[in-house]
Amino acid sequence: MSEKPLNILVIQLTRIGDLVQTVQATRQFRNENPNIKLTLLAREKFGTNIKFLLDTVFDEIIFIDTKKFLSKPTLKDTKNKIHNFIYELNKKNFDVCVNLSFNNSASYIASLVDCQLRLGMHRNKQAEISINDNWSQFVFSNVMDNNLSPFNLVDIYRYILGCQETHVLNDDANCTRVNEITIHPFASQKKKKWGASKWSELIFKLIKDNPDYKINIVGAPSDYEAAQRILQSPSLKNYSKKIIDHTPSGDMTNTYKLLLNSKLFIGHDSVVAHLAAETLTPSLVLTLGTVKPFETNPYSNKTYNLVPRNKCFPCKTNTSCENLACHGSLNHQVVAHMAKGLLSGSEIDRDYLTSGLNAFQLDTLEVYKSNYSEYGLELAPIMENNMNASAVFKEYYKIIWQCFLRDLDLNVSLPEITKDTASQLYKYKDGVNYLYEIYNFGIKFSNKIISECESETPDLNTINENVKKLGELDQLCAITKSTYPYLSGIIDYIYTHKANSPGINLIDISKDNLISYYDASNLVAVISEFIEKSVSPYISTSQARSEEI
Amino acid sequence: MNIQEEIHKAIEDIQKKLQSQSDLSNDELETLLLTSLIEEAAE
Repeated sequence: MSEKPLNILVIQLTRIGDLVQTVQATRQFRNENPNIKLTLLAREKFGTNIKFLLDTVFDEIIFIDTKKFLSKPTLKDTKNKIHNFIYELNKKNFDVCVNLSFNNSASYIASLVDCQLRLGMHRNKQAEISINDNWSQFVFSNVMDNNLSPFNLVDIYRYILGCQETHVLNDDANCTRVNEITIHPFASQKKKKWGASKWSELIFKLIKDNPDYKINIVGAPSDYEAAQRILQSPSLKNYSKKIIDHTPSGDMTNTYKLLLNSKLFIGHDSVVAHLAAETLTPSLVLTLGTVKPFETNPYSNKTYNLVPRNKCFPCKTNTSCENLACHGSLNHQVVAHMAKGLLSGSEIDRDYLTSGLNAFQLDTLEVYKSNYSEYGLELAPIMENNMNASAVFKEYYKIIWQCFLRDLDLNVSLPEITKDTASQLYKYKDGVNYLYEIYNFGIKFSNKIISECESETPDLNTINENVKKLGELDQLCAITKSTYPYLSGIIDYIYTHKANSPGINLIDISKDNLISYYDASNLVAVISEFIEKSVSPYISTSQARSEEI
Repeated sequence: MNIQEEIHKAIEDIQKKLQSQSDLSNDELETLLLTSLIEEAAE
């Protein structure tokens, strides 16, 4: 007799691109765990257009339309609608609820679903944010607000779900592609996309370099005017027969088919780039503005990601920017040269790039190639192996998080660095030492609380004093973080982990925090060792030269 | 009372309950779900 399938609800209430990434992660989970029933809860306005894709992975899809909830005139009627919605959801008897969307409404729904296991952000009975699993704590602390996560979002979703291996789509060699390039020159915000003139320049160059190719412009009907601004450029006047604007129909199924047939996709970080990964179309992704390329690179090994080298990149959504400096760092000639190489079957490596482009064009950006590794998708730089301090810390975090959260030892070397980067890393030695001391004090004070609580006559003053000291340690961590921002990966994770301690009394919470402090001091010790090994080639035994460093 | 005023009053009652460190009922969590849906719709 076959076992009853595990009944899993996946909540994904963010945008359409996140839905595609959820499909990609859940498909892999399904491959490892065939005996499951998967239900998706998604927003109707984002899910309807890609239902054809959602249906390939999920057994059932429930769409939520906020307008329908808010259409009632009284609070009582509105509450009844919500109550009935939750009631109908709970009739499905889910065993597991996985919230992959880190927003408020999803967290409340996750807490109202009756289930045995809850993963992702939800709420406790005091409406406080509650996160039980380590990888969701990682998302909350390392993904939402900072740029130090080295992992692709699809891989993080896989880790939350519990995937052990990476399962990727088979490249169907029999699939015939035609001489078409599909372009999506749009994005959800102005900061994330080139202006019309740059796209016109690129399209002109693509047509000149690849005269046998047609260009498809895809997007939503709302992108029609923007598409017209591109196409009405005087440079494209004579090439209207080679360019087809598909935005009036704006049909995602049609876009999917175009991508399946195209030999190349070019666009920004958007749902279409993620669909291009689904169709295994070789892609050039132009990353701008707020986009974090390591997180959101389309999940395929056929992607090249062009990333500006501006210090202000990536910015935050609420950062105002009139200059859009990072836009100027991605030159259309670089994109056109790479497109020409991909379409002619050339290998896009450093030699190819430097053969057709000058230093002025290449100095302002980095080009990454996506590859599958033992832990998932990674981006490797094509042009330069010498990284800045931020990139080096990303490599450190890649190693420590895979080991700490997945028990996976990555067999990789520490990155090669320049003397300048060594100098920046050297300054972090002090920060690492402070943090190590802080966490060791955390061990000491937690031990005092535990031993006092467990004694026959616990002294409340001693307990309170040590609890207060632990609070002061959190403040010291915050100060350390502001002085040494690349240490925020560990500081924020440990803070989030401690805040979600499962204990129900002071002893249990203190014991859990004690383990957190031990873990924290170990993580910091590893970072210290990495920094030491990275800078040691530049540290001379002579005092004069180390002062110079 | 219109619906915005009703919601505002319901939230005030929930906040008072939270200040006394009492657990919220599912009904009250549903009210908070409603307010978050409204906020997200306005973004």
